Amino acid sequence: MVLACEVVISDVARFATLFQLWAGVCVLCFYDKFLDKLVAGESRVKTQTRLTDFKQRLHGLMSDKQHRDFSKLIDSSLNNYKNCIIHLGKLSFCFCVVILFLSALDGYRFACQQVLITTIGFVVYAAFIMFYRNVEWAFRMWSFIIPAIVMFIVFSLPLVSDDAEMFYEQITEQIMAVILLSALLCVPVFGMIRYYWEKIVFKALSHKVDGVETEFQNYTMWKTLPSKENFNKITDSEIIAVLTSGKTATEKQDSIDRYFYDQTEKCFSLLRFRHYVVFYCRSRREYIILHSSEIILWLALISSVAFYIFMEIMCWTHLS
Amino acid sequence: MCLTEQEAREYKEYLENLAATKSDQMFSNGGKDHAVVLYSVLLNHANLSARFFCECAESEIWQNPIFRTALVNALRKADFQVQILVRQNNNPDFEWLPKELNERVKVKIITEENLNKINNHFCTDSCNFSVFDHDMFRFEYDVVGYKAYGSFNGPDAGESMAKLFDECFNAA
Repeated sequence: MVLACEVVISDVARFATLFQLWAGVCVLCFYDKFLDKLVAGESRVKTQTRLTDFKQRLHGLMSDKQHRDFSKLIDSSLNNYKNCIIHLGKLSFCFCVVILFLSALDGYRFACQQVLITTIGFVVYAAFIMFYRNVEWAFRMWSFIIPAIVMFIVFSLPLVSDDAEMFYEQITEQIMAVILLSALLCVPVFGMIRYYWEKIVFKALSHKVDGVETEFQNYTMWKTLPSKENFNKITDSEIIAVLTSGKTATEKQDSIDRYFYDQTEKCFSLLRFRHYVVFYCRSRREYIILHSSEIILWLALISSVAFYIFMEIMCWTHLS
Repeated sequence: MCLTEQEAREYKEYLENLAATKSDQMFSNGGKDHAVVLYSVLLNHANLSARFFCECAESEIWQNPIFRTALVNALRKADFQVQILVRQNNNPDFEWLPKELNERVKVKIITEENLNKINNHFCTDSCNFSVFDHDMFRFEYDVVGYKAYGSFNGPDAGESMAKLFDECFNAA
């Protein structure tokens, strides 16, 4: 006599194939050298070479410390993206392994508070690593293993705890499975956002660097061969203003040096990827860089106007 | 500006690349160490002549062994001539040069009139410059900080500097 057994398969386990597939993709992140070519990209290598040349060309206008800071900035900002992908890829792999392991256990309750909080924590952590670019410590071995162990421990809590309660009645296993899948997809989505964001920044940066170099070439040509023809090639209004001012020759040169240094500093500040937004204005055919103080001002202005309109509507609605 | 060994190597590679490709790009050069590297590359690539307009030809750059080695190697090239125009009457000591190369180095002191001529030409209070062959040069606009602009392929500026130098040198 054959006994019929009823097997209840977790709804999360139904997505096991997708988790396996994603784990297979993420395992590539353990091969750093393979990813060097895949993620670094030709445009990043070109940008790195360009900026290094630019830094060498104008080094006479910088102090030692500034020169070294710029070197460090070029290396870290252009390699940082690859390091982010590798770190989060390894973590995603661990995430998939944990999910697959636990989904095979009969009776494991995914739709509980611990799993939900860990999943949200993973998304926040991925966003933090991907968009907060100064996190250098994240790319060492211990920094990858520790979050993986913490994640495994928290996910295992429902096995040993009797208090693995349902967070909301609405959080069913199906919804939990979707949330878990979304948590995995956050890494490629954030990666793509950052990739396209940095692409536009690199274009703006190249444009700015070209501008500074052109003015530097024009000015130095005039300085070494002071003819009227060479003077007319200088187009930057600030440089012309300094040269036509009544300052002494030494003061003029100091001002020009300072000007080029400030322009170089502005170029490299774009590489810090913080406190600004870059977008391309088609009508003006140029890149517009809005700094955080300007963004905050605009947001405050728009919020004030929106709030005023909202209050007017509420008053009108109430009175009528 | 002090250079580590690696930085000096990278900087020299950068300059060698500009020289080898005969790039007409102007570049900035600042500090003793960077100046010495640049001079060594310029002397390495010059074939006919080097003209130096400077304070006294005894500054820290001139004392630097890398600079001296590069100058000696350049002087060993066939028919290579070095002319030095100084502002100070210090009688620079070239005992470190091999005796057979001494006669290829000519030193003169600039007159007050020609000094003003050079300063007026470059619209500056004080400057040093050096021209190698007729198209490579280093123009030092800040003589205290050793800050300069240079190029490995600037025939217009190079010719102009060489002509100005020759006028002042011949009149000294």
